[in-house]
This record gives sequence, structure tokens and C-alpha cells, in this order.
Amino acid sequence: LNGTIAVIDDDACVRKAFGRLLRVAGFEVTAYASAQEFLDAPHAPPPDCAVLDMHMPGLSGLELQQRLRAVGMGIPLIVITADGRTCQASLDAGAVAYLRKPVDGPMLIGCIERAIATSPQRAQPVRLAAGAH
Amino acid sequence: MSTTAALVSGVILLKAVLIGAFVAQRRRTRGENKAREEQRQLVHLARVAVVGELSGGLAHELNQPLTAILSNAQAAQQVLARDHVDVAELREILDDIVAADKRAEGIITRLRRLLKREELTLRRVGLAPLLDEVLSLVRSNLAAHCVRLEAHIADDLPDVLGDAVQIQQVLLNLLLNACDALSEAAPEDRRIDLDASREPEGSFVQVRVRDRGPGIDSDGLERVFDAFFTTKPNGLGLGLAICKQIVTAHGGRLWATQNGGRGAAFHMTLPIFKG
Repeated sequence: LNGTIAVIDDDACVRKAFGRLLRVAGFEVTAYASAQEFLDAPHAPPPDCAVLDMHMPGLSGLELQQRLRAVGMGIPLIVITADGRTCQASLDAGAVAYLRKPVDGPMLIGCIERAIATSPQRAQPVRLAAGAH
Repeated sequence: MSTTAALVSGVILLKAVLIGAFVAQRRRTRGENKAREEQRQLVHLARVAVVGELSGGLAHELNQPLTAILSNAQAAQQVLARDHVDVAELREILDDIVAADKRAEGIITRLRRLLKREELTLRRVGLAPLLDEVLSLVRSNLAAHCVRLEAHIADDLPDVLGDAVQIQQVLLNLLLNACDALSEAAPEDRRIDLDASREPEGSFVQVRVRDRGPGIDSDGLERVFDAFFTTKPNGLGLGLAICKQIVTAHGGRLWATQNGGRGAAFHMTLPIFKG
């Protein structure tokens, strides 16, 4: 396996397609339908990388980034967005890259591989649900 | 004056009166037609404005199936590059591509229908599927503002008598307004509730759209339906005024209340179709 990936997207059809693309490329994928669902799940160990949709009902991708930072969970995040303003905000909040939908598969895989290769840590196990709400 | 001359004069006078009445009637009809046409244009322009507000969300909504199609197709290319091709896996991928394509087609069809310019036509409308269609049109706009929508549609919701496109126009207006009202809300308050059920008294269905935004003061509850009354910096203040006209033309009512001290609630009633 090339690594473990969290796909966080509220659209079931996109979640399934990203999951399939990444599994075929050799990654182990866990999918989440919302930022809150990701926060509520135990992460021991955390994924090597997360692919995060910016615009989701409830907690936004950017707010999830901020909460992950607040608990010191340094997962490399690749943000998927269509909005230029949130691109910059997500990079400022620590995302390693952003991509626009429709996302090119090889480009996404390349970003994930680079993010994992250059990640300073395979973060320590953290249970998010307790401290991140 | 001879009898014949009097008769001729009488006939001429009668003709003149009839022609005069005919001309007046035609003028009146033309005036009514013109007013009706202007009203139709105004309703259509307001609908075009709603579609304009939706456009960013619709582009995003179209991007979702396009993303799924591209990712699935690229996954299929990788599957095909393997030594042993799994036909069942490929079939499943193709099924998902077809489903995503149909979803994109559905978005375009709904958009076209919304932009059609037609007379108000009252006929039997399935309100529950219409609400599903409205929610699919507005879904991405809500997601872009990180707003959740909780829909509570009664299982026994009866069909209504109305114009499907114009009812959609009203619902879209109410939902987009509710979404705007939540722009400053905390994540836990970014929520819209939509309820649809038969009124207890019998011959109407009521649809409610409730938000948890700053709400409307008691003076504003009536004024929000006045033409050119707006709280939005770039709003024309016509949306709700036209919505009220549309609902009234259906024989229903549209009114606003406070949402139990937490945001605003808009209520619309529509007559149940009785066959």
C-alpha cells in the first residue's frame, strides 16, 4: 500500500469516485461524508493524507483545518475547491495543495504522493472527538 | 322627419354606439393584455434573477458529476492497464459513469425548465417531487455557505393546484434568502428547516422555510413583501413582492413570522388539488 488517505466530501458520488481512483492507485481509503464525521471518528493512527472538500454543509473544510491545527494534528491536507478566495485561505491555514473540480486523477495522485513523501511526521495517534468540538 | 329617415338615423346611431362600445372593449382588452404581459415579464425577469443567484452553485453542482465521471474514467484506465482486467469492476465503474452523466443531464433539464417563459398555468403538481427538485437546484449554494438543510416532508403530502415553475421560483427565493440570512451565523446555527404538510383544516398545504439568522423585526415582517424593500446591499427588493403575487394568484398565502426568537420563518399555503 502507498499510504492511508481520508476522503472528506459531502457528495456521495464524488466520494465513491475519489475512493475508487485512489484504491486502484494502491492507497487505503476511508471516506467521510462531513467534516464533523471526520472529527468524530477515532484516528489511531491518523491518515497519511486527507483530501478535503472545502464547501460542505455544517463545518466547512477551512474550519476543519483550523480545528485540526488547534489539536496539533498535522495531517497533510489537499483541498478541493472551486472558489479562488478559499484556495488562498486554505493554503494560509496549512493545506499543502489545492485542486479544482473536476480534479485530474494523476494530478491528485501526484499531489498525495508528494504530500506523504515530504510530510514531516506520520502524526502521533490523536483522538479528535474529545478536544476538537 | 319621415319614418324611414328616423329608422335609418336610429340604425346609424345604434351602429355608432355598438362600434364605440366595441372599440372601448378592444382598448380595455388590449390594456388588460398589456398589463398581463408586463406582469408575466416581471415574474420571468425575477426568475432569471434567481437563476443568476443560483449560477455559482449550479456550476458547482455540475462539477460534481463531472468530477465523478473523470475520476471513474481514469480509474477504469488504470484497471485496463493491469495484466488481468476485472470485467465486473469495469462494469460497476461504467454504471457509475452513466449515473453521474444522467445527474448532470437532470441539472441542465431543471435549469431549462426554470428559464422557460410561460403563462401562469394552474394544474396538478406533485409537491413532494417538486420540493426534491428545488433542493437539488439549491444544494450547492447551501454547501458553498456551509448551510445544512433539514427537510421534513409529510409522507401523505397531497398534490397541489398550481404552476410548477412559479412554485419553484417562490421556494428558491425563500431558500436563497434564508441562506443569505445565515452568512454571519456560527457553524451550529447554519441550518435551514423546510417543512411541508397538509393544514389541519383541510384544503391547503403549508410549506415553511425557517432559518436561524438575525430574524426580522415586527415592522419588517409586513414590509419584506413591499416592492423595493430590501435588507441586502445588492438586492432590488422585488423577489418577495413577486413571490407574494405568485402565491396570491394561486389562491394561497405567503407571510413571515419570527422563528421562535431565533431567525425568521416564511409560510406559504397552496390549495390542494381536488380533481
